[in-house]
Amino acid sequence: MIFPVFWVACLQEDSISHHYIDFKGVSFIYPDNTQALSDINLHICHGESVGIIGANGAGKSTLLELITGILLPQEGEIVVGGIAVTKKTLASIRRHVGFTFQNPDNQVFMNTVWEDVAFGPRNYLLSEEAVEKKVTAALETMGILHLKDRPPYRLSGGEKRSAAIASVLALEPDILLMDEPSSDLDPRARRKLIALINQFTHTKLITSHDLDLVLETCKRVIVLHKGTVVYDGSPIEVFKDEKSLHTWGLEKPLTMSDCLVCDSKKNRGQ
Amino acid sequence: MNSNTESFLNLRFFDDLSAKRTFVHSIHPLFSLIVACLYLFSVISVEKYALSRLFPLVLYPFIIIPLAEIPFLKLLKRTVYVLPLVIGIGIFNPLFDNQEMLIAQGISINAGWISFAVLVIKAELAVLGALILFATTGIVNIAYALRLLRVPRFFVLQLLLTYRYITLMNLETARLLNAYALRAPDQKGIAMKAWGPLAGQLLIRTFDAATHVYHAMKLRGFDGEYRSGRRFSVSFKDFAYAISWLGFFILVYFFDISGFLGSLFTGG
Ligand SMILES: Nc1ncnc2c1ncn2[C@@H]1O[C@H](COP(=O)(O)OP(=O)(O)O)[C@@H](O)[C@H]1O
Ligand SMILES: [Mg+2]
Repeated sequence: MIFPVFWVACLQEDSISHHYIDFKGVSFIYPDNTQALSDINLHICHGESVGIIGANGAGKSTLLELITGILLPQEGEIVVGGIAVTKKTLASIRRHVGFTFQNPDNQVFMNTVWEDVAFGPRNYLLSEEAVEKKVTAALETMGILHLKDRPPYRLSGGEKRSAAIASVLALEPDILLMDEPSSDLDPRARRKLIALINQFTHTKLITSHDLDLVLETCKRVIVLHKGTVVYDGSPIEVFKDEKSLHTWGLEKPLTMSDCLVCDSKKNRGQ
Repeated sequence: MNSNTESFLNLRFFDDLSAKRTFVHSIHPLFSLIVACLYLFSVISVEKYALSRLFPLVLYPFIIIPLAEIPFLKLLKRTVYVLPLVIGIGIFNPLFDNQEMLIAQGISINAGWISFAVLVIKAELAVLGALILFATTGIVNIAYALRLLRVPRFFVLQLLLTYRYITLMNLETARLLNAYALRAPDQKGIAMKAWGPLAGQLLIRTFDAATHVYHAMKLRGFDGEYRSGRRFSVSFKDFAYAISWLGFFILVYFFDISGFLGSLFTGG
């Protein structure tokens, strides 16, 4: 079954349109000639919550890294809030974009959790009092204030993840990009994360294998398959379509699957 | 992780120590840096056979290490990495430099042995002095002091990234060795034929990790200037600290204190 790739009309496009993201014919090839993305065209509206899903190696991380300018495309153009992502515009774009890496080890590098979260605000030359406020708030939001003096490299995977997210929250980004944020979180931390993502009202893009998380936090889903967009639309629609999910190497979210315990049947596809 | 993480030249050791709050840690980084440089200069300028000139210089680590609450043996352990190199350079001294030298009444010794001892002790003290600076001032504050001395941002950044790079390499080494040990449980060390691939993996992984960390720093507004958030103001104690050490180093440089003390006892 083939899905039409459609563009969601942006409601607020004219009024407040700063935090939108545009992909115009974007292709990306890694130095070893792996074609990670080919001809991506997307428009993500201000304030939209978008889940990006796809099997391992589909190009999800590459897509997010292109928005931050960590990678620059060989073809096409990415525009964030009206500014094209180029070497020259990186600094101003990065002021608005918060990115949590797939591997939190890449992100926490200071000697204590506190220092790490404070790293960003300090770079923007805030007063030490303001830095303290922001860091405390971010750590409290993630429920890890008690870890503030611990060295990040000695934390558990989930604690590290929470610290990485806190370090991004402290910068109060207008656009939030999260690469598989729920991996290695325990159920409670995952719950908190979902609540947190839902509180964040700005533009957000989340890649995840956790389709339940996507279902709970995103109004729009983009499916990547071998570096191309194969679906762009409502989450419910795509999650019902077991056959296509299977072709793309995905599994139905648990909340939409048949219940193994009580034997109830749900959403038996089309 | 297991003990692998703790062994090796673990720079986190210094990060942790430099977070302490003792008197030595409270000294303005610029003054600590200057004192450490003066100390290195004093150690290096000791002449080839002037063994007795080295003894008073041992005081510096012996005073600072307890004051700064640094675990002495652990620090000492980290200085021995340079020993093989120094011994390699100095071991030929006793062979080539075999004139006799009088060290006390009636006792003479091959001069090469003396210059060898001087070389080893000098190296040990110099490394100790540098490590003490890392352990008390911390890399971030050293960078800050270097910037105050108008060292170009580029060089300071290189220093910081190299430091981070070594830290990452240690973590990656630990991971790799663990992964290897888990899959070769009966093996004591690492098989010869696995060395090449392991070393290659290590380089690639460390490079990747360093690149990622660098990107993560850039994403959070890093512009090449590290900001520790600690504000140092210069006070009387910084001057007092630096001037006392300066005085001591000058004294040691111009007068043979231990020789003088020795002659008091022997009445010579
Ligand atoms: N640094 C890299 N060098 C070469 N190829 C890479 C690199 N990173 C990812 N790739 C390749 O690019 C493709 C997309 O990767 P990625 O964006 O990480 O996928 P995902 O996040 O969806 O799992 C994969 O085929 C992957 O093997
Ligand atoms: Mg990925």
